Amino acid sequence: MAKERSRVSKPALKELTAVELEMMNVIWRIGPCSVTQVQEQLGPQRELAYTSVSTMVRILEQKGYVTSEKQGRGHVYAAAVSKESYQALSLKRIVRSVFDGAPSLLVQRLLASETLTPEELKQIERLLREKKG
Amino acid sequence: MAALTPLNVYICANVLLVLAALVLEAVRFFSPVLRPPIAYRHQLRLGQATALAALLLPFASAFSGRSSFLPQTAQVWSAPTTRVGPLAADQRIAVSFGSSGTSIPLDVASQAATLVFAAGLLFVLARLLRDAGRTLRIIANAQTIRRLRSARILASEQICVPFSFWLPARRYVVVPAALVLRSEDLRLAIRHELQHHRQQDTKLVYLHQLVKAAFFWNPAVHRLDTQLRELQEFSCDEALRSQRSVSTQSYCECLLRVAEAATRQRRAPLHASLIGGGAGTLLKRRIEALLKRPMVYQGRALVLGVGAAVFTLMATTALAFASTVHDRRISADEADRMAAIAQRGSTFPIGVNAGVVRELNRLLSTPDGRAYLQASLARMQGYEGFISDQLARHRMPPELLAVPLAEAGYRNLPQGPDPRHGAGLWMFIAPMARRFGLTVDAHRDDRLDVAAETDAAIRLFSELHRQFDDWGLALLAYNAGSELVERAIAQTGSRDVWTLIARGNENDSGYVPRVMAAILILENPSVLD
Repeated sequence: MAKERSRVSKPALKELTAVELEMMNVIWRIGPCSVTQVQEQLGPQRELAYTSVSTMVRILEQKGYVTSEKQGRGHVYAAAVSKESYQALSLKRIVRSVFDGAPSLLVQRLLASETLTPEELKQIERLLREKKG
Repeated sequence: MAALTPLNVYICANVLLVLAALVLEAVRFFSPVLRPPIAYRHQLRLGQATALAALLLPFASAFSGRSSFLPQTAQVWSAPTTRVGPLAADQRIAVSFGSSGTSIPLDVASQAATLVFAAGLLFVLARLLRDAGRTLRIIANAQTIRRLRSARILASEQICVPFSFWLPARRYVVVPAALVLRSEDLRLAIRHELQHHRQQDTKLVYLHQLVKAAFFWNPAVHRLDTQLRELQEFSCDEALRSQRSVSTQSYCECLLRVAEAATRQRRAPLHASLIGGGAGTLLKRRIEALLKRPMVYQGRALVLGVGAAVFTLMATTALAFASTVHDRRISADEADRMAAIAQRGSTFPIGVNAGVVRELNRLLSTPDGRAYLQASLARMQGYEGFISDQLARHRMPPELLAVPLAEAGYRNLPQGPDPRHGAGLWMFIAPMARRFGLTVDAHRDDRLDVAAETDAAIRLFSELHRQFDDWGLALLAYNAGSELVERAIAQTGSRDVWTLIARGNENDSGYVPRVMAAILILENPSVLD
């Protein structure tokens, strides 16, 4: 986890495009997998050729989001960045670009615009208490 | 003359580039009329060869040594008139069209031209560097999706249109990341871009940019660039269409999809790109060509024939425009060459120095100087035979024919109001004329009798030559008097006429250099052509 955070903080980690994020979500969900598995998980409605998926996964590897390991005749791809790290990174980007670098504005907007259940509100309160220590 | 060679080469190249653009325009216009048409790859090679010839032929014609046979509309003069003194060295360039003309000082003209040219060049180069930087950033941020032997295929999120790019020892094909999802389009785009590399388009693009920068103000160059880039696309399409693995229909669809995406992207000039540049109708024309054009083309013979005819036309034009700006100024080297010709077979001491070059320029490199010289030489024809005979009979050097030219321009001038001035062809002053037995009074002036004055001049020259045993000193004494020359020799201890003149021993300033200049002109009559 600590190792991953240091990777996330590197500015070199590029943002994911919509399709890339779709693929990362598959890899995060099912864990280390082959190109065929990713293709299957994306579903037939996406109509993506094997070569397209394979190219996309290799782009993800170059961007540092997945690592590959040769296994038999093919490769197995595993996430190099956890979903949580990516969430944190995306949030940082949003705070910086949309909320003028002020996280409190983000929270304010979240509380104002999202309809939160009483359970969710309680959970947020608990998290805040924990953070204050 | 040499100083203006680059300018003349540049002017000639501009003319030839206009011609090249017109030729290519004509080839592209007439090709569809022919049955079968000329293959696009042949049209492209023809265009490229023509453009290259337009850039190289001016050098060949500039150094071929043949003068151009068109009227020279621009001339560089050493001064606007002979009356400008040596200190007011006002070199001018005169441009004339038909009977009207204008002239401006040469330094103003050259400074202004240099300034405008440098500013334009800097602007174009700066823009090019900015675009090159942009392209390199796109490549740095892109992900490699395939490594072929011939090129690296990259995917970039920053672009909407595929392009190919060449750096020494590196070839790239960059495709939009979104294209990766459409495997058929990706395959076709990569093939198209690899074809650009194969056609050398990605290398030639640098030459295109260089030429466009050097000739930035010439619209024909931009038109030629557009034409060649369009032909590069057409030949790529042509090459792909002939491949079995490419379906024309899916290729057309791919072009349309990429074109749709391209409406969102600015084009960079260093790319060869899938949808090409140029006019908005290009895509339509390409698709029409892909779908309708026959796949049979004109043979090589016709293309080579057209090429040979075009080359002949261009070579002739290059010769015609070899020296548009004609430099009338005489350099020291040219004066030396003239002296070498004049000295051939002669013992007369002909000297060339800065003073002689200045006098040559006053006569040969000013519009009125040349007019005066031409009139003088025409008048001289009436006297030349007689005076030459007299000089030969008395064993005098024929170079003395130049004295009446320098003295009076071969005008048989009467005595003016100033008694210190002479009269006749040889410009004898009255006392000297009387010393040689000529009558000069209120009723009669024997100096206007050419035979009598010529006889007196020959006797005076032979006397002076006997006295000084040197034709240079004799010439100085003819103008300044033998007493002055004797005194100058005694003072300086030198018998070199140029040393005496350099120490200020003259009567009319620049007299001996003027006679020397006249000798050089008489011995090199071609300088007045």
